[in-house]
Amino acid sequence: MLRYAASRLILVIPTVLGMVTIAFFTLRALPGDPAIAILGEFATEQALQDLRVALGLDQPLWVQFGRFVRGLVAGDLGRSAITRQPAMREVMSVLPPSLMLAGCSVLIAILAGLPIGMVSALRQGSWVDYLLMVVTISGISFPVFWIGLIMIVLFAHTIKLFPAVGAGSPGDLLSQAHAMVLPAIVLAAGGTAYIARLTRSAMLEILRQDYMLVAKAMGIRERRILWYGLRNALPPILGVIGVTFAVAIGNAILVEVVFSRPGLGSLIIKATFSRDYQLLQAGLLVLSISVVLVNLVLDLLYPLVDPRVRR
Amino acid sequence: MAFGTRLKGLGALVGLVLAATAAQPPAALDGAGGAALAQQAPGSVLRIRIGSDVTSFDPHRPSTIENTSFSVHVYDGLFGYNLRTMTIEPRLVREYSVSEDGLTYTFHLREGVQFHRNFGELTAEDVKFSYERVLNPATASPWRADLRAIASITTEGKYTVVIRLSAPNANFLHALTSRNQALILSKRAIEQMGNDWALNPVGTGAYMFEAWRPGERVVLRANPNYFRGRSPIDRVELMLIPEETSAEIALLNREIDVFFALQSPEIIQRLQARSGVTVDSRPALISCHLVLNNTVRPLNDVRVRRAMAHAVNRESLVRDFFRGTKVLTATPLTPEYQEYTTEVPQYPYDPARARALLAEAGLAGGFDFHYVTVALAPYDQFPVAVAEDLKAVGIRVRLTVMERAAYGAARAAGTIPSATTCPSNSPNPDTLLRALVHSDGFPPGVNTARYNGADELLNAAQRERDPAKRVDLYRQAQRQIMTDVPLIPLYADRLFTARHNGVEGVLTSAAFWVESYGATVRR
Repeated sequence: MLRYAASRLILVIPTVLGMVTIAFFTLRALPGDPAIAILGEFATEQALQDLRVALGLDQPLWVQFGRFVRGLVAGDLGRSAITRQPAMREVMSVLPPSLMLAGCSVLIAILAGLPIGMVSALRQGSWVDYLLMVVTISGISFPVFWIGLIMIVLFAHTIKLFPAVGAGSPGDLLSQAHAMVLPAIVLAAGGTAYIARLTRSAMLEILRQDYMLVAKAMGIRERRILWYGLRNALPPILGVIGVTFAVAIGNAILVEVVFSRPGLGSLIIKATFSRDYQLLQAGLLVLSISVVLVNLVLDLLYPLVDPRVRR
Repeated sequence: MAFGTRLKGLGALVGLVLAATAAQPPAALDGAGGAALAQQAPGSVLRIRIGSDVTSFDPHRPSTIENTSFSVHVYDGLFGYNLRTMTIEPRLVREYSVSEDGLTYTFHLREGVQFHRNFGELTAEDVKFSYERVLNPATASPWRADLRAIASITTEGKYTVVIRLSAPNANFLHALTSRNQALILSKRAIEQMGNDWALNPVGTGAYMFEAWRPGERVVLRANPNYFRGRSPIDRVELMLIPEETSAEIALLNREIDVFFALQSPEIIQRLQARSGVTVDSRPALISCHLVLNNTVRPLNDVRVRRAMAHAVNRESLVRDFFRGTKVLTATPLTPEYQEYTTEVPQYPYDPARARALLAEAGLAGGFDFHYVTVALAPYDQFPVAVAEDLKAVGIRVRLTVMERAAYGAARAAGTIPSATTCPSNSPNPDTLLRALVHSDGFPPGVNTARYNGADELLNAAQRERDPAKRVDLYRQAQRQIMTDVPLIPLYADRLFTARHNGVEGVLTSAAFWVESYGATVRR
C-alpha cells in the first residue's frame, strides 16, 4: 500500500512539470504581443519597448524559460504584468473560493448522483427511471451559464431566496455559504448527471451478476444487497469523480461570470486576454496541481474500495 | 465579454420572464443627475456595477474604464472635467497663468489639501514628481505621449509649479485634467511604501481606498478631509458583475444601486419599462469605424472607399441592430465634441450610387474585401450586417473575427487590410484625430488606413491659441478627411447607466467613467 502511494506521489512531479512546460511554450506560441495587450494600441512604440524590456520579453525564448524554471524552483513565479503584484499571491487570493465552489459542487454531485443512479438501476424501465434519466440528460445537455441564469431568475429574482451575485461578505461564513448555494448547484448539474448515469450502468451490470442472484436467493435483505452492489460499483465511479472535479474547475469559469464570483477560472481567462504570462503560468500551475492532487487522493482511495489494487 | 455573445439568445428568454413581471410606465431618459452635496444617513453604501475587474490602482499605468472609475474617486488632477458640459475646471489649482508665447504655464496650488492616511499636504513637489513619473520610461506609462510637450517642470516655493513646453500646444490643459497622466500622487507615499504602494494607493480624492477583493469588488471609504467637502455617502463599492443579465437582476433586487456601462439594447429596453428604475443616457466620446487600409488595392482608390461608404446602411445599423442605443456621426469625431461638424461630404445609403462608383473605378464586377474585426461584443456582431450591405453591391466580403490580443497585435503590425476601430476618447479632439487619421498614429498606432491627408490642418490646430480659429481648423480637417474617406464612420456611442430610484447624483463622463462624489442613496 505504501509503495503504491509512493509511486503515485512520485508521478505528480513529472506530471506537473510537463504541464507547466507545455503551458509555457503554448502561451508564447499564441499570436499577440503582451506589451500591446497590456498597454493598448494608443501606447507609443517607446512605451511598448520599455515594457517588453521590463518583462524580459526582449530576451530569447530559452532565456525566458530558464528564468521561469529558476523562479519555479525558488517558488517565485514573477509579478503580474498588469497589476505588478506577485503572481502567486494573486492566484492564491482567488484559490479558496474556487476550491470551495468546486469541492461543494462535487459533493453535491456525489450526494445526488449516487442515489439517482441507484434508484434508476433498481427501477429500470419504469417511469421513475425514464424521468430521472431525462433530468440527468438535461444536466449534461444544457450549458452551465444557461442553467445559471435560469436559477438566478427563479431563485434570486422571482423567489428571493439567494443573492443573484457575489460571494458573500468576507469573514462571514454564513453569508458566503448562502451565496455559494446557487452556483454550487449549477456547477454540480453536469457532474450529477455523469455520476448518476455511470452509477446506473455500473449497478445494472453488478445486479445481473451471479453472486448477486445467489445473495438474493439466500434471502439477504435488499438493502444489504444494494450496499454490496454499490461497493463493487465504486471503482469506476471514483474515476469519474476525479474527472468531475477537473470539469468543475473548468466550468467554474462560466459560473463565476454568471454569478460574479472571484475564482481561478476568471483569473486565467483575464490573464489570457491580456497575455499576462506570469499570472497565467501561476494560475495554470496551481490549477494543474489541484487537479493532480485530487486525482492522487482518489488514486489512494482505490485500494480501500478495490482489494485487487491493494495487491 | 466574450460570454456576452453566447448569452444573447438566452437573454431573450430570460427577458420574457423578467418582462412578465415588469411594470408598464416607461422611465424618462434624462441627464446624468445632480451633483450638489446633500445630506445622507450615516453608514450609507453605494454599490456600483462594473463590467471588468479593476486591474491597477496606479492611474499612470494602463487604464480601462473601470480603472479610471476607481482613479477619479481616489485621486485629483490640477483640473477636472465638469461632467455635464465636459469643460475644464480647476481642482487642485487655485489659479494659473500662461505666458504670451504659450510656452510657460504657471500653476498656483490650493493650500491645505491633504493626502489620505496622513501622508501630508499636497505640494508642488508632488505635482512635479507625478508628471516626471509619467515621463520616466521606466514607468512604461501609455500616457507618456500626452505629456511629451513638457520641456521642464520646476517648483517655486511650496505651492507653485512652472511647466515649460517645447512648442505651443493649445490642448495642453486637457493633458492635466481628470484622469490617467493628469492625476497627482503622493511622492512621500510612493517613496516610503515602494512596491507596497501599488496595493495601498494614496491620493487626495473624495474617497480613500479601503480594500480590493480581486474578481469581486473594490471598497472605498469617504475622505473626511476632502477639500471640496466630505462626500455624503460613507462607502462606495465597485462591484464586478461581468454578465449583464445578472447585473439587471442584481439591480432589481437592489443588490447593486447603479448599473454602470450597460450595453445590451434588450436590457436597456427592459429596464426602461420598469418602475422604480431610471435609465440615464448621455452621448459618449466613443465613435466606431470601419478603417480601410488606403495603401492596398483597390482601397487606395478614393472612388472605391466612397462606394463602400454609400453601400453601408448606417441608419438601419443604428435603428435596427442597436435599437436606437447609438447615434449617427458624419466624421471621426462624435456630435458631442464642440469641434464636430456636419458640413462635410456625406455618404447616404445609396447602393445604386455605390455600384456606379465601383464601375467608374473599373470594378463593376466587384472585388474581394477582407473585413477584420475583434472577438468582443458587439464588434464581432454588427460587422455581419455591414458585410451584408457590402455584398449587396457586389463586394465579396471575407469576414475574419480575431481573438482580442491577436487582433491588437495584427492591427499594430499594420498588416491587415481593414479594421474595426472604436477608440475611447478624451474630450481633447486632438487625441482621437491624431491617433486615427494623423501620421503620428501609423502602425503600431491605430491609423490602419495610413492616412496623412489632414496632417497639416491638425498640426496647425494644435498650435492655434485662438479658440474660434482652432475649432475652425478642426472642422476643415474633418472636411478633408471625409472628402478622402480613409475610414467609414459607423456610429457614435451613448453611455447608458441604470439606477434604482433611491439613487441621486451619480455622474458619468462622456469618456466612460463614473463618479459618485455628491451622490446620495436611499434604500
